[in-house]
Amino acid sequence: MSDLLPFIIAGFVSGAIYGLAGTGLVITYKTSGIFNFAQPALAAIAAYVFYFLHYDTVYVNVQWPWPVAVFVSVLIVGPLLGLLMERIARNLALVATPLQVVAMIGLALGVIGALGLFYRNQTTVQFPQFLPTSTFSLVGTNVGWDQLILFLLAGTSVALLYVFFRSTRLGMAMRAVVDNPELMDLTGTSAVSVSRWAWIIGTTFVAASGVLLSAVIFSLSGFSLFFLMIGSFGAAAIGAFSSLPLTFVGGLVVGIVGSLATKWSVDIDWVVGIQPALPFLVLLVVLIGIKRSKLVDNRVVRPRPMARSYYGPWKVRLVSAILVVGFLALVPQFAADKLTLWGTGLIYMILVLSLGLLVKESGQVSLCQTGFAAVGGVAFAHSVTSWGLNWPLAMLFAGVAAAAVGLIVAVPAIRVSGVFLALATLGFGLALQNLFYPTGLMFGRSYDGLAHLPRPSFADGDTAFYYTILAFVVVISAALVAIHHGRLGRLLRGLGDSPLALNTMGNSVNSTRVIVFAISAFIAGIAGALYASYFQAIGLETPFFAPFLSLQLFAIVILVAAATPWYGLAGAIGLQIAPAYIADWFNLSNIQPYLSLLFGVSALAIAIQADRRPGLPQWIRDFFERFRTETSVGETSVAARPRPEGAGLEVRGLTVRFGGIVAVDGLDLHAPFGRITGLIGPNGAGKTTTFNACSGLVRPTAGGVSYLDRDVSGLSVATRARLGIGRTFQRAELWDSLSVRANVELGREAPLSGVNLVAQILPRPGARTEVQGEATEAMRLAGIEHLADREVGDLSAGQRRLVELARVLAGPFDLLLLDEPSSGLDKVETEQFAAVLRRIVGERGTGILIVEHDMQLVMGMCDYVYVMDFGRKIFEGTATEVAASEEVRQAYLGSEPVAVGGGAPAGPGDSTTVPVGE
Amino acid sequence: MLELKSITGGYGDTTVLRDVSLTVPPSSVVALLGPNGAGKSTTLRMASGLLRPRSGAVVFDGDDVTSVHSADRVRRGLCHLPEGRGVFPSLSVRENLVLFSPKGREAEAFDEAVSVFSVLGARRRQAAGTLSGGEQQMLALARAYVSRPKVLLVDEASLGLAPLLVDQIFDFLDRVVREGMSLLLVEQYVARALQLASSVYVIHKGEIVFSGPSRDVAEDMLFALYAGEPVG
Repeated sequence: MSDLLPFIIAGFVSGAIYGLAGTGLVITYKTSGIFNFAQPALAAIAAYVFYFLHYDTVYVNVQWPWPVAVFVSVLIVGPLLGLLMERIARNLALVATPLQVVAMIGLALGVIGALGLFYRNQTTVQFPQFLPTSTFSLVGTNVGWDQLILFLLAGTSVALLYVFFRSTRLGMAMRAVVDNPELMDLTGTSAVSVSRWAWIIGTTFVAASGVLLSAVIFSLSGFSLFFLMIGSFGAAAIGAFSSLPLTFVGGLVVGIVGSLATKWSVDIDWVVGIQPALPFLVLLVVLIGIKRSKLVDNRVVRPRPMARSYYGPWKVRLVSAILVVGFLALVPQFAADKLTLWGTGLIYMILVLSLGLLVKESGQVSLCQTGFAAVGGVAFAHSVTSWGLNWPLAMLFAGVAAAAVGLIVAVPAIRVSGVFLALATLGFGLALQNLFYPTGLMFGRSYDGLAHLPRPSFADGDTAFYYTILAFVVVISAALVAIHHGRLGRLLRGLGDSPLALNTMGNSVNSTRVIVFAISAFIAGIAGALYASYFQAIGLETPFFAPFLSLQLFAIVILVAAATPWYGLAGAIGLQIAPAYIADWFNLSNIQPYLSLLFGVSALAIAIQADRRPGLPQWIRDFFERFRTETSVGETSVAARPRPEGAGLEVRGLTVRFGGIVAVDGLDLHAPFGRITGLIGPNGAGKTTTFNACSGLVRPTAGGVSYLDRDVSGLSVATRARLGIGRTFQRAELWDSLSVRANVELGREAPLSGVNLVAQILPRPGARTEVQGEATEAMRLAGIEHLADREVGDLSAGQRRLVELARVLAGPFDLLLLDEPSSGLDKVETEQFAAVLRRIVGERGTGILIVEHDMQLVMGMCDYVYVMDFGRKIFEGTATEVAASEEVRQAYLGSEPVAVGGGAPAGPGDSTTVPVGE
Repeated sequence: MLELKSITGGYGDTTVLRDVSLTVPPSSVVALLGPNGAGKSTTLRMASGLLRPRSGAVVFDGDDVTSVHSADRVRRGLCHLPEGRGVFPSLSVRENLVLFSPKGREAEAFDEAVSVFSVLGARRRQAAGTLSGGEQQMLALARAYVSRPKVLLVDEASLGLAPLLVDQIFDFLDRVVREGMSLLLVEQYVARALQLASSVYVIHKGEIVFSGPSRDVAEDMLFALYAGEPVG
């Protein structure tokens, strides 16, 4: 035990600093909903300011005493940075999540670049100890006074913050503001000022942790501090990104376990990587294991998804592709001395494209793409050198190995999305690097890593291999373009805009998520293998495998608005080719800091502007559009649907409880085929909850739902949809970045693809024509053919309603649940709408259950009406019976005047009557 | 006391309200009625400053407050109880009441709230999100009491509550009125609203279609309006 104590004490100290930084992170996240990925860079700024004020003898040379330097770097620089961050965060509040992540990453890259410029000559600065280094004895172990001071400082700060949070009005406001910023304004405390204070305090904590951490590790470099500080993300994860005390405890756990791992790693080889990997492992494990409800994006106003890239007419794209490939084929002629650079650039292009499939098409976030490349490179190297696999097979194996790892990463993707998926993948990439890169499992034990890797026998020379890479680029680009235009591409875009809509249309979104991760990782693995074969050696320092590169790749994929595969080309040029030429031009030895600075600043600037990302200018698009040939969807006859038979939808004794609130209480209801059944009642009566229970979005507390005489209560949302239950939402749930036609078509296609992996990628022959035919028919029924090519996000509320109706009409649904479909429609549209419903009920025998507030519509259209109030059925009957019912009238208008207790009834005559109006 | 002058506006490019004018005189109760989606909540949001009108003005207590932040309007004595449960679910009952009260009156505010809704005292340490629907609504209403506003805007306070609780809520509203507060009431229980209010505005598709003393409002006219018939 006594030999462990020094390590435990050291762990307490670094853990307390992690805890301090983690708390700073948590309070800003809690109040603003923005996860501060740039936090490590802010810590680095404070540490550098301290260094300049206290030690520097070259630039500033003031050498203030350390308390003064700490005061300035923490208590002045910290709050100033906090104010700046609050401004940025406010700008990002209504921006799509991937752009938020890019903005924060851009900020971090920019700061690191700027710091790198300051200290170009030394990447690492000595950061001597400024606290007293003498020791005292604690149960037989020498403890440094500096250690005690650091621990007490960090611990006291967090404790004070906790007390502040619990017992002061501003602290309570900080805890509450994220729940409901509007209500905060209505209580007389400005939500913006609450959030500003939170950023000031949080960033000051981060600044303090930067200075303290540098003092613990005795050295300072923007880069190493960056990764150490990401450790505090692990602490924040243990606190579930919300609890301050748990975050501090999480920091201590990470610090102590990590410190002990350092001790044990002397004896046990595989423990080596645990200490640096620990925070990231924690991050990953927590995000996989935590209750999903704790990690929802609870922004009240959902941002619009990012605009889709522009895809020109195929003729234009084909000609451009031929020109570009021709140009690339000529590179060995005009740039023979830079051939390696161009070859490397093309491999980067493949990696960028692999990430683009995941990010651009399906809207998911991944920050570990270089990890997949590393797995591919290593799999290639081992399979060739140890197993003697030939080159093509080894390439294939590399892809498959990376795809297998991709499946592991798909697990968090199923559970979490947005910023938490970004964190989980970041954690995965960093854990992989720290845990496996150095242990010999991946790159062997030799310092040189894995060397003497082969090139293929048919392309051993540099030029021949360059052309091999070019061939890979062409094939992979073509495959990705095919995916974009195929069923999988359409499903992915639906997944990106609204997984909920895709799921309720009958697609099992999780299998789609798994597929896309596997394909993306496969391609990244190929890129890694190509890199290994090209350079014939890989090791743990190989830049292509560095987790840091993943961040840059992600930013490029998000920021460059170009279509597949052009953004890949932009990435290759931006990351590799252009910098090398520029460095040559200006004779710079190290261009990286400049690049990093430029890249970071532009990423931040572009992300804040949301949809104005660099892409093709409008006039060029207009020019290209002249070459588009109309691919008219021919007059496909839509096969008559078989009339459904059976009992339709039956709800029996349905009870749904949320916490203390009973939303639905023992409801019985029957919606048969070939009939329009109404479900009406005052606001809050439980109508939408009943719908959600029918489509599987909420689990009933008691009772159940059956469809076609089959109990469907235990079935998933997508399975119920495939059985034939389709629905719309109270607030139209559409794929906003897609066209009207694409939305309606996907209504038909999502249930066809279902859960089947093959069917999601390869539709059966003729399916496309069938889908297009059904979609055209449905748009005609809903009267929105003239809108077919408009982007849904630009439509009015009424038009969106009709698109949602057309989508559910296109799908193979026999029973439709329509939730307030007429709200937002004008009088004429409402009449048309009712006519469409009557028609499909007559022609197709569809059953409809409709929740509606427009009583006239309900009375005129419904064959049978159920009336709910307080979660119970209070009346059922024909429309005429409902209209005549006194109970229904009372439910809507309130009961007759009753005596108000505690005073005389305040009749109209009691108050001052004031003349109003004319 | 509170006056909306020719308010036009909505969310983004969508126009919800068209030329809405409305007056709440001192110590009076005004009901704002109309079918779903007519613009009742939007009218209240314009009044409290959560939304800014595209044209028109909001006058409160003699001052033009059209460009005054909603938090400042609260400090001037305007209290808006929005639709839904107006509480902070992750804070305890007591902490909610601290935030609801004017600065410096936090301790008294709690006692006052308990004097009106005694159940809040028993639940003081419980997180507001775990209270029953009725208790949450009482906590939300307590804000109207402890912040002592001059004008109170109430949006569907009885929504989704059982009749017994609705009685309690109207008891409460009656009490604050007798203590001198002015009230602008949006309420689905028309009969009860009419009983409390001295004058009524009826809004339909973003426009005021009727205004007058509450005794002139016929329930049949309202039911017809709610059922979609045009009002003459």
